[in-house]
Amino acid sequence: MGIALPKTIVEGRNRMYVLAAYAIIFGAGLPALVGRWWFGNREKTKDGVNARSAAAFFKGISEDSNIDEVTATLGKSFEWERPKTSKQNQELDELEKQIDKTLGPKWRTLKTLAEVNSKQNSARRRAFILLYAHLLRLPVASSSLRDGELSL
Amino acid sequence: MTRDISRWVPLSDHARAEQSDMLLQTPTLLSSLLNITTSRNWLVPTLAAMHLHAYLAQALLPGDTSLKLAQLPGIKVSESRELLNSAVSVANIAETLKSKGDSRAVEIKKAVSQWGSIEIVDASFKGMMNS
Repeated sequence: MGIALPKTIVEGRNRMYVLAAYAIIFGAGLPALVGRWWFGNREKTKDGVNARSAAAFFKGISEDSNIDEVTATLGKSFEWERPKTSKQNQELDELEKQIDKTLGPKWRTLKTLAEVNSKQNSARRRAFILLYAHLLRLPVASSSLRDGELSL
Repeated sequence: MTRDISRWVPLSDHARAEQSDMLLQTPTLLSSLLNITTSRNWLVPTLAAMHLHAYLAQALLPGDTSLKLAQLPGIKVSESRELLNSAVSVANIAETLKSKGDSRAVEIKKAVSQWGSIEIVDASFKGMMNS
């Protein structure tokens, strides 16, 4: 009885290559696969949110948190949920100006609650502005579309 | 309907896609937040998180009750305040708009017929021992 293996694997002069292939698969590939699964799992809670967002919820909410504080805490979590955001922030400045005009001093209070700082946490700031643009029903238009309409 | 284009804030397609992605993520985040508050038996933040869910869905400013009518189809935020000031409520808005010959009345009547109301049939006090 024999096992049908390709001749190249069994041949003595190829044994170093066969050994190297084994080493790569079991020494690097398998640990990497298991590691990715293990650490990837640990990154998220069972609710499917980032563990750091959940920690922010845990710390940010107290027994008498009102809706503004809850909104601000939700805003904080986007820093970890969407860390890869674009760096184009000029358009956001205009949007923030509009929000500031509509909400007045309340916007500054909300920003303090969410600990939004324009220098640090650019991801958090971006998400918070976009969130309030939605809540205030600010009319946003695609910039390319708008330019097109203006030129008509 | 004419739109005053100068009031529109320009936003790139990328940022608009980002905004809608973000909003689609909020239900997951809010339910996680809700799990935390309910497990601690905290009423105020629990209610806040539940309300916020609806505020996000309706795109209304959290905590501003003068915007109640802006949940109805076609009603703008500014209109909601005006209508509430002239004593229009959810119950009579469809009639009021119909009498003005407003074309939105049909849709609004449909939405109002689905308006939720809570009926408490029984309440009891559950004591809790805090050690």
